[in-house]
Amino acid sequence: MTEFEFPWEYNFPPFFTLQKHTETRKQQISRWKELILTYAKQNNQAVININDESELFSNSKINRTLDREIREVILTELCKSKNAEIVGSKNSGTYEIYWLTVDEWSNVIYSWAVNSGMTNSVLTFFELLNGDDTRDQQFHQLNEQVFMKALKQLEGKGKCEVMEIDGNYGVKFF
Amino acid sequence: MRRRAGVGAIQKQKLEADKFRDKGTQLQDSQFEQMSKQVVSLKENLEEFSDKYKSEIRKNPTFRRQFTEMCAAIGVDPLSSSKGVWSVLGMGDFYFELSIQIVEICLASAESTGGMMELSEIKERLSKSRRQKIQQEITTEDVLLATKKLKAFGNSFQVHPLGKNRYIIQSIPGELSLQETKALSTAANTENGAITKSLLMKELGWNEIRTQQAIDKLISEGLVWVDSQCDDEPTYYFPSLFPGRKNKIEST
Repeated sequence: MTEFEFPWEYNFPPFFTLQKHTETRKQQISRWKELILTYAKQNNQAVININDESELFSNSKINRTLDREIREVILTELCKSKNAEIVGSKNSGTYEIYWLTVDEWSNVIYSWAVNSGMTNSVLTFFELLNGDDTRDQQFHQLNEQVFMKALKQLEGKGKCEVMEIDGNYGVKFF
Repeated sequence: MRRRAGVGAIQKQKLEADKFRDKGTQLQDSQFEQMSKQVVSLKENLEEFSDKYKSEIRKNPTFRRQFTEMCAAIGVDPLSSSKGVWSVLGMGDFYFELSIQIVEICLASAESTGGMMELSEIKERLSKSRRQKIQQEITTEDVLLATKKLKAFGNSFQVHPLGKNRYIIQSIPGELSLQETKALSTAANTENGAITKSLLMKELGWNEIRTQQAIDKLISEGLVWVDSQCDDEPTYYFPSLFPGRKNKIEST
């Protein structure tokens, strides 16, 4: 995997101080949201804990760190746009990150299933996420919890059925 | 005995006046004819000239500058209209095209720069986006001239000198106060395009209230971002002057 290339803002010291001016702050938060999503996507990191020390929130080169409160502000914004969801209690600081929203994931997965003629046969989660057939798909090696959420949504629409076979999950698309 | 004015004399006078008028019209006509001829020949010469040098105008910045200087000397604005004799040179087209590209560049990054961009950066972006086409060198004068044309759209496009042949183009409406302009120039001379209260007080000899007012105004216009994680006092950064952002042009 190629190393993540941070945007220029990452080296811009004020990027790590919450801006008071409304317009500037809007711009700042939207750039942070973008950064978190592209970072999570490239590193295939489905879960972020804002209490952890991470290069994502701290740039040691310019000695700047994003305060925990600001991290929370930004993650809350990500939740609002359905790009994140808090895991566990409100204070856990753990968030699932969706660079595609669950809605978008379910569409991507379902259209793949239809287009590749995989409907009406049982497929295991393992072969879907790690098999050769899906190697060039966006959901290849996707976090299983996120994958499950997308499938549950499809199930709700009657487009698939999720089943458990000997402790392993499988799915049948209709 | 005085001769009484007779019908004959009146007629004679009238005849003379008519003759004079005729002669006058004749002269006027011939002058007009001559002038028309001159205009035609000027146009022909210009066309010939432009055929010869059109590509030179687009390619050669020195030639372009000399030409605009010549036009200024004889009181002709080759950019004022895309019609008329001067249009054959394509001079107007050249600058119109440039103006549009400048607008595009400024607006594309207005969000992250607060609507400010240094002329040198515009120049660099221009030459990058034009590279695919015929090789054209764009000079600072060209950008200034093209930006001047944009003043027709109100005060949305303004040029602020930063000293030492440096300029910053403002692509958002609104007047910069004298204080803001001075603060901007001060920032332009720092490594990161950033200022602090004490720097402004020292460099510009302002008192604290005046300094604070200038900074507050800059913040409220979205021109600076605050960094509160420095050792001693808050630092205010102009994203438009931040080298880390500008350097991104080369890598993208």
